[in-house]
Amino acid sequence: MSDSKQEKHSKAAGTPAPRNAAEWGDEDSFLGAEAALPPGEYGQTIPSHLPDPIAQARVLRELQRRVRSTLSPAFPVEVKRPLPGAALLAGYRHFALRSRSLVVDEFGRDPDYCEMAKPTLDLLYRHWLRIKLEGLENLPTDGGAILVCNHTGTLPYDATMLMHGVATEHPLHLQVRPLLEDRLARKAFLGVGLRKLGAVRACQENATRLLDRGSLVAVFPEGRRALLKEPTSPQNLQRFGRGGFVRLALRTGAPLVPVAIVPRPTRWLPDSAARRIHATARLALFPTPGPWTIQIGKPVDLSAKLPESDREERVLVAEEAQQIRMQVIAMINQSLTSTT
Amino acid sequence: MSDAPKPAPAVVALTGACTDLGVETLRRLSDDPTIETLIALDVSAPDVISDKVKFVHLDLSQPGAGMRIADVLEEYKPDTFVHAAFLSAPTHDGAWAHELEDVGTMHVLDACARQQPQRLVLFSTTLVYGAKPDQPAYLREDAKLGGVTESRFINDRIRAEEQVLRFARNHPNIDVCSLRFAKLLGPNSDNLFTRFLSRPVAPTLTGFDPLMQCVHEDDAIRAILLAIRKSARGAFNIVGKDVLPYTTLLALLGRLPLPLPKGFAKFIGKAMWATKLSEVPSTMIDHLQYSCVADATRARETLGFEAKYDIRQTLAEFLGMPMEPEMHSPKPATRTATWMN
Repeated sequence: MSDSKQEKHSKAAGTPAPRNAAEWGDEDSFLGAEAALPPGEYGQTIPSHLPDPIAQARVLRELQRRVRSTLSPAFPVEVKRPLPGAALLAGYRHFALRSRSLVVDEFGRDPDYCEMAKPTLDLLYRHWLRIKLEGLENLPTDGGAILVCNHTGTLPYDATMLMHGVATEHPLHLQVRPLLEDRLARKAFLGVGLRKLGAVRACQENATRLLDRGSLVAVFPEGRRALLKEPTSPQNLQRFGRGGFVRLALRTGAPLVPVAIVPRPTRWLPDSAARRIHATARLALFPTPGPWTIQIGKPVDLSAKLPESDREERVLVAEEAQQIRMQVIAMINQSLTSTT
Repeated sequence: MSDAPKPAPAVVALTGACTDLGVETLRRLSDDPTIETLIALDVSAPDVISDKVKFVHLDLSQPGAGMRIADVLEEYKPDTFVHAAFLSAPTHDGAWAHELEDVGTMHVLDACARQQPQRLVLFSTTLVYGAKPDQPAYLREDAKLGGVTESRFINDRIRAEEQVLRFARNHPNIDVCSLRFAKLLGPNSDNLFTRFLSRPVAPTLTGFDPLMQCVHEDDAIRAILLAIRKSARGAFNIVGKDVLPYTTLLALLGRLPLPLPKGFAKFIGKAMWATKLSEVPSTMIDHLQYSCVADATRARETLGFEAKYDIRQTLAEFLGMPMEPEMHSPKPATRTATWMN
């Protein structure tokens, strides 16, 4: 193992780098070294018969570098010296890497973290909120789609439940990527946790990137105004943003899928009490028990409509946003009447 | 792109010849048979032995530097000018850094305006975008150069970028391109990030875990050579494959994360920078809170640059450690991470 010794020696002497000689083009001759001397840049030089020590040192350094670069392999396996407390460090590394994967997707979705969060989400999904997911067959399986959902509550339980429901109940285990509003996305802990579960900050660039890769994107166009809704009448939806999701659909050609997320109004309580619970639930940050219904409607394809002017686009966007909103309201009403 | 194809670069001038990237660029270019002369401009001679390399002493922070470059350009008539004279890490001597980076770029551009080389390449960094909460996840080259308001280190780079942008607009006959490198890591690199990541303990901000992106120095050099040969125009993000959360990066490197609240971390950072205990000013703390990830699409489509190393391989190379086979082709979900030891 003379090679490994030399490597050790070279590492100890502080070699800059092991590098692949053939690739870096180091195998050429270096004999014309004198030509690289600085061409008299420091004023008048006194002629000397002695060789220039600086230039010689540089030649020597370059020679040393080239010899070393041919000796050491690209991955110096042998130069690794055991650190003191290596076992402790290794243990720490295992601990630090628990529930996180070495590969996250472009937007930071962490498969190991999702796996770890699954039991908790499942408990919430099946036993606390008792969610019934309908219309899974309406989800397009080829290419992207924009799921337009209504919003419930303070924390994005609706988004996580939709994500979890589609991932577990759909035969293809599709991933839904909800778009988070800024205020949530930049929150400490919450923003990072949701990002690891698959949420993405809401902006046109991110959504376009997701749709180009054929993801299902869930938008909640009501935004924070959803908190103003009366708990007893979930069908009174707020304004659907500025219709940015329609513009996104027009630009990418992705279909719009209306989704109604209906929390059942509590029946055993008078309305006033339900209102009070709703008001305090904002502070409690935990959802009142279900059952919920999530209903996925028929996709609306806008790819045939291509607005040519700004006027046409504005008219189309306003119309389509309102139409989708009415569709979601109709779905909520239908789901409320069919079960009560 | 220009109308008529320009001749291949034959005489290349390079400022900052002693920087990590500058030396490697000179080495690779001196192996290219089509290159006739390389003019290395710096305060000391680079460690490159080749007949082609002509060293010229130049201190960009001196007032007469512009005339000096003009003289050199007059003498050698280079067709390509590479401006790489930027600091690899912030310094306490802000006035000098300003002279070198911001005013130095002005000197270079003055000389280029006089002598009109065919192409001009600027080395920049993705730090110029800044880490803001309201940015898209992938920053394209046309994104606003937000930077960090109070960081002189980054503001000087932004001003250099802006000057070069203005120069490109006023001189359409010159192919001006700026290469914005992500965090440069590798076995040879020595810069802000390598120093930050070499410490056993690294601060994190409680509740935040931004996505990090880096680029291997070898990929960076390949991008530089491509930009010189292809006469590219405009800005390009030169980034490696894949992103990783900051804490995962620390775990892979075996560093101990020290979670601190932001205000406290800023205070400590300021104190440590003032007492020279830390080499990173506290103004960079935004990069521990929000992601600053750049999009590589333009470099791939226009420059034909495809990064060879992904972030895990880059980190392994930075550590000088071998990689386990699974690291080369990682599975989507690796439950247990057996990385080193």
